[in-house]
Amino acid sequence: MNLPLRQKRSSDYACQYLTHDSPLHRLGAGWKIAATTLLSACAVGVRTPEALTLLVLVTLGYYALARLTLYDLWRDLRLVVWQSALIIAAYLALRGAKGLMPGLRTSVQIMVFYLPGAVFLRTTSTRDVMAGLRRIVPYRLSFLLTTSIRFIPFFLREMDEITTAQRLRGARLLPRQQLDPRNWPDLFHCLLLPLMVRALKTAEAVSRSAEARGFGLHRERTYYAPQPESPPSPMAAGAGGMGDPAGRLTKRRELYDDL
Amino acid sequence: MTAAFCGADAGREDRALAISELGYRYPGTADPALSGISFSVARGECVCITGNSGCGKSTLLMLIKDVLHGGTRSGSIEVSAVSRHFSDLAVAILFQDPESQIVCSTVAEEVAFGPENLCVSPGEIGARIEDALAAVGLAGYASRSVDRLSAGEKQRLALASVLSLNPSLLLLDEPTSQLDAHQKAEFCRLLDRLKRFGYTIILAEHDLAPLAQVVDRYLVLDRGRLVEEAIQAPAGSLSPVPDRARRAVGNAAGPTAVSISGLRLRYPEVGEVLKGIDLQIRQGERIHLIGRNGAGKSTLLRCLSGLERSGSGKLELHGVGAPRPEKLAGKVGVLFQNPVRQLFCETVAEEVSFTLRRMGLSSPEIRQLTARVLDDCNIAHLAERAPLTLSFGEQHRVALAAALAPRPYLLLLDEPFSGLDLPQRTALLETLRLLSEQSGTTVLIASHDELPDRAWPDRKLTLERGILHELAP
Amino acid sequence: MTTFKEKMRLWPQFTLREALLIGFCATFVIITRAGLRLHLHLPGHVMLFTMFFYLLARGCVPKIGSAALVGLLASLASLVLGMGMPGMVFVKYLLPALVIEAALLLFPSSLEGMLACAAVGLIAATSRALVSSGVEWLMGLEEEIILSKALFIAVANGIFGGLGALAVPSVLRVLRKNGLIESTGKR
Repeated sequence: MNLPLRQKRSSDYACQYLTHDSPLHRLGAGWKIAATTLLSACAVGVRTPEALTLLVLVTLGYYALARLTLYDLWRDLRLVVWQSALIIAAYLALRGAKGLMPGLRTSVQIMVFYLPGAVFLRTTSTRDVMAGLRRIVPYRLSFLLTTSIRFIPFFLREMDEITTAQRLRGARLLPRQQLDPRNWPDLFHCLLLPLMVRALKTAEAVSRSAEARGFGLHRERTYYAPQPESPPSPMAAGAGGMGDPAGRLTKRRELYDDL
Repeated sequence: MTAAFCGADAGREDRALAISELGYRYPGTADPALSGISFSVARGECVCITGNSGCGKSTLLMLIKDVLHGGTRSGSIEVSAVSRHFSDLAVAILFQDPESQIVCSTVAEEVAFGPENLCVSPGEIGARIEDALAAVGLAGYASRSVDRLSAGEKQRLALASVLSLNPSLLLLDEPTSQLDAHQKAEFCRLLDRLKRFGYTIILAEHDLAPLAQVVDRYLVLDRGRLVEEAIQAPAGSLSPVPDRARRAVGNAAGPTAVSISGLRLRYPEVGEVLKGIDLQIRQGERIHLIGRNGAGKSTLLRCLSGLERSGSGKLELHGVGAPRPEKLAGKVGVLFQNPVRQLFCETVAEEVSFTLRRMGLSSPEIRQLTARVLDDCNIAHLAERAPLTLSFGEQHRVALAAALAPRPYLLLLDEPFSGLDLPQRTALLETLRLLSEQSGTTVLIASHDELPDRAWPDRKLTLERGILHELAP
Repeated sequence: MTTFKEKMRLWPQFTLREALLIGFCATFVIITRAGLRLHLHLPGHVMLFTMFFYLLARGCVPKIGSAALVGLLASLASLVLGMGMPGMVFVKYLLPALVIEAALLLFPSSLEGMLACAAVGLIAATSRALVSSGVEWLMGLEEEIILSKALFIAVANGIFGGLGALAVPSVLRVLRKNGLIESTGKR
């Protein structure tokens, strides 16, 4: 994988996927999930200071292996740090000064619990996660999942268009207007209800489109893995496209040049 | 009329499709959607099924493809298309809206979807993808995300995704409805090539003019029955209304409703969309803004309705600068493309009166204004009906009535004719004409097609690459 | 005369159309979580939309498993899009969905009335607080602290979840009146 080396800080939000090269970027998603599970399980089970120290070092090493910076670390742990501060404060309130060490220990455990998950998210692209899921999840479920994700931009656009149309009719849908719970019915009836109507119609259309192209016709289906650079079709120059004795497909490609 | 329409001298072996006394009733409806349909189509022929909205064009195509569930069918459909291999699908259908038939995230995945379902080997799928994309002019697009495609490209991708099934009979349901004139011409050239390569094509369409060189025969449906067969496009099919006298410009000379000077707008990914727009519109004027898809028409309308903030320049509505949507409710009405998506109430009357209630008017005033606008839009008889149970054309009129109810001084319509047949378009223009004459409302229609009535607008503007030009009326 | 029956079952349970609709409800859970932030900076406010769409899916596709499938798809989508930690994300989305399934199994007409629906939403949303509490208990956090934290989160989740669920019966009524979904129990 020829990804660029890390040049500068680039996190905009916690756990953001970063496109640079590192040993963990090259590692498969399944291995990373296994490592995450193992490290997080250790964070839950660890009890002695020595074991916790070792675990912290291993986790930080794992984090560094992803070529992530201190800024990234701060971004990923920011929310957990606040939570930890509350836990320490609670321990102090409960036990006084004696509560400091147990509070610290638990806080560190929580940070170490979450950190491997952050590494996974920072080093695994959507495509790699989907490819990994395809190996373990039944096709029917992964089809639903890919369709759900594929329509995110579509429904975001729909949401935007419905919102603009309804705002012009007087619906109170701006974020500052939604701070008032009395405007929440507008959110549900003027935005989410039409969105749901759209979803019902789209589900109908998508299911027809899928059925019309043979989805579910057979018990099984093949899977085409796109190559980065697809070689020219061996049938391209020959007498006919695949499964087409008249050679229409090949002719079509050659004659299209004048369009 | 139940005469059997046949392809010219088509013998049985030359026939790709034979339909006999076909009828269909949707579940829960009393009236049949189709009845007594009989015709045949020869191999390699291109047949266009046309007729007003609701006549049964889409139903007929879906029955041929056998994708309708439930309901009651009578008669027979015989497809003689040659299915050369178990991994081919004899009949393929392209639906009206390409956006909601594309199920995958990339172009290659989408074109591969059909062959994968048919258990075609991965090696062969690769070849089919290349061939299908080349056939529709999308060679080299394989790894592109579908979200990056234009409307015309999405339509071609949808076509490629059915071509990869190696069909011999292609059914196309209003394939050019979302396309502008240039894209329609390109698509028709593509159809012409497919026809020359031996595909049998049946398409349902309103706009017949671009198809003149491709279509061999027209079949006209009316309320579910086949009423006419013709070699030439039937009369009245989206031809412009006979020229009527354009009204004298002086009749629309009121105070300035819209004043734009030096308006510029830039999007980070796209660049400058509006490049120094200057425009003065007087109260009561009727404006037609025409331009290709992506020219910036919708962006300009969004600026006028306060939804976009321009990078520079000045925009005033009735002397008030920097309009915001919350301040414009009731003063500026907007009808976006596919306005039915904003419907949400339990009755038409509630839907139409929504803005009036938000404006804080009294109940008697609301009732009066609602009744008036329902009459103006010819939907008074639908007042207690649920909006989403109506036909598309009726829903369109409900959305229009909802925008007109508060008697706005400016009405903006973005691609209002999408999905409407010629009588519906003409009726819409007539309603808008009366509105501007009786209430003095300024009306601006943005579209990528010419208006059915060329005499309707007082002024005609064109937006090309972000620059506005005024055309001679 | 030939009468066609519905074909194409994704599972024996759902048709393709129903499964896709459930998938879109999962899409909405993700979108609203990411995009429709209430800017309240209060814990639990995401449950407003989560409960709404879980219950709406269950009302539009009134079959056992529809809410659970929304939860499963939302958790998988969250994982794929980098919005949730592996492992925890499944439990966080699935647990409330399973509570809804159990509640509707015991009280099938809960979606008809606002109060009953709000109660289901409140209980399901509250259950999510158990997830992080369980992990903290395993870590050895003081029980008193776990309880007070869990109580706070549960109350916040429950309030927003209950409020989100309140809107479901009226939305379902409009959808039924407009002929977009079948009346209760006719699937």
